[in-house]
Amino acid sequence: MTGAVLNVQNSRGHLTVTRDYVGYGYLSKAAIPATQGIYDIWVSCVGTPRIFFDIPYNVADSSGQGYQQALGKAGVAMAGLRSGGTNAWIVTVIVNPGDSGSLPGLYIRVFGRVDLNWPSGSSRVPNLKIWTDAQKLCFDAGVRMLKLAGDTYETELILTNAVPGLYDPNNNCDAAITLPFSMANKSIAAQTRSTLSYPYNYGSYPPFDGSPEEIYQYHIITYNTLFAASGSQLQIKRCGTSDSFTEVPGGMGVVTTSKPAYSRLAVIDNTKFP
Amino acid sequence: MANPAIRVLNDAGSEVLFDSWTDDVLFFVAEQVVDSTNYDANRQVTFSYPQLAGRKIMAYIDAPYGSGSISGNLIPSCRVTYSGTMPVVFVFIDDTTGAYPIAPGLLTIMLSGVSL
Repeated sequence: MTGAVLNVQNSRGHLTVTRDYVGYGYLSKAAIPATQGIYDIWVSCVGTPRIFFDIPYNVADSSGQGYQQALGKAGVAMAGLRSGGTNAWIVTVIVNPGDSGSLPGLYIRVFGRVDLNWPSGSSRVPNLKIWTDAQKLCFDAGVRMLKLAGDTYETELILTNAVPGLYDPNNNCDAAITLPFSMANKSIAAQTRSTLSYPYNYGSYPPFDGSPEEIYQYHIITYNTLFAASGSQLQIKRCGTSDSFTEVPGGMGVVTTSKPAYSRLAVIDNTKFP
Repeated sequence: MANPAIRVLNDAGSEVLFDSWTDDVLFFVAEQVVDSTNYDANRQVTFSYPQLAGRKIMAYIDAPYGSGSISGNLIPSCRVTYSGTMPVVFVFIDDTTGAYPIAPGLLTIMLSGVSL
């Protein structure tokens, strides 16, 4: 039956089933640790998984002042994906609970290509299986096929500033978009520009030992680019996750050129993928 | 069921698992590794997809390192744009001057099902 055409569209004319391209199916979910840290979560998938992660919903940011405010912001992001061996993947997740101290009940959800993860099709009967001309499974009614929470294909968050000012952490360092539905109980697939340690110079003094180099003092804050949600608003923000102080003879090189971070998003409804 | 649709119910008939009349999906198209050899002097590279002309795509680039400056690697980002109707993916390194090595990225291209 080579060459047979199957194209099904939804009410808005979007392609939803086709023999031309392979879809994704829901494989599993895994818990995100609730407390602050950078965590590696192992998952199984044949071929590269598509990871959706829960975002904290209606979590209050810090009431602190100055840089303490950046350190108290709450958010979660997926910051890395790498192979852990045959059909094993390591998902790196950053969690910053901010002042709340804990972000319980969050998960990552793992989706994989149906042709690779169900090469003979699922065992559910009766069933509808659709194969491409190349005999790859592309749709399987026995699998929870990936479906999005509405048409969010053009959803993009743009974060323009590399780092906030030391004493003005909310100035131009956060961004948000409004989605056409509540972000409660939703997960997103998104990438971020992740960890950045930024040294703020706050003073200098002459060396005591006759050395020609001035001693520069720095307050270093490590920022992560994290997501959170409030109502139907999805937020991307620079959250400070740690800080330290150092002194360096002659001063440090500081990154001064930085491009905006673009984060294109897909959103799913968690209740569809239990 | 006034409209032609593929609807998938669970075995109990109590849940619609998939409905081709209402759902939006993503299809896998391609993936490729983007490493330090791909970037130009401005630390950017573009990929064009003429075979997907007229269609909206999504692109993600996954880097293996969870923490850019801590592990000493620069993390790639990407953005989807359209040249006329042809999808173009722009991959770039955020910091254009730093001396850190560039982390390899795995670029995944997906079709959204939406026409431009």
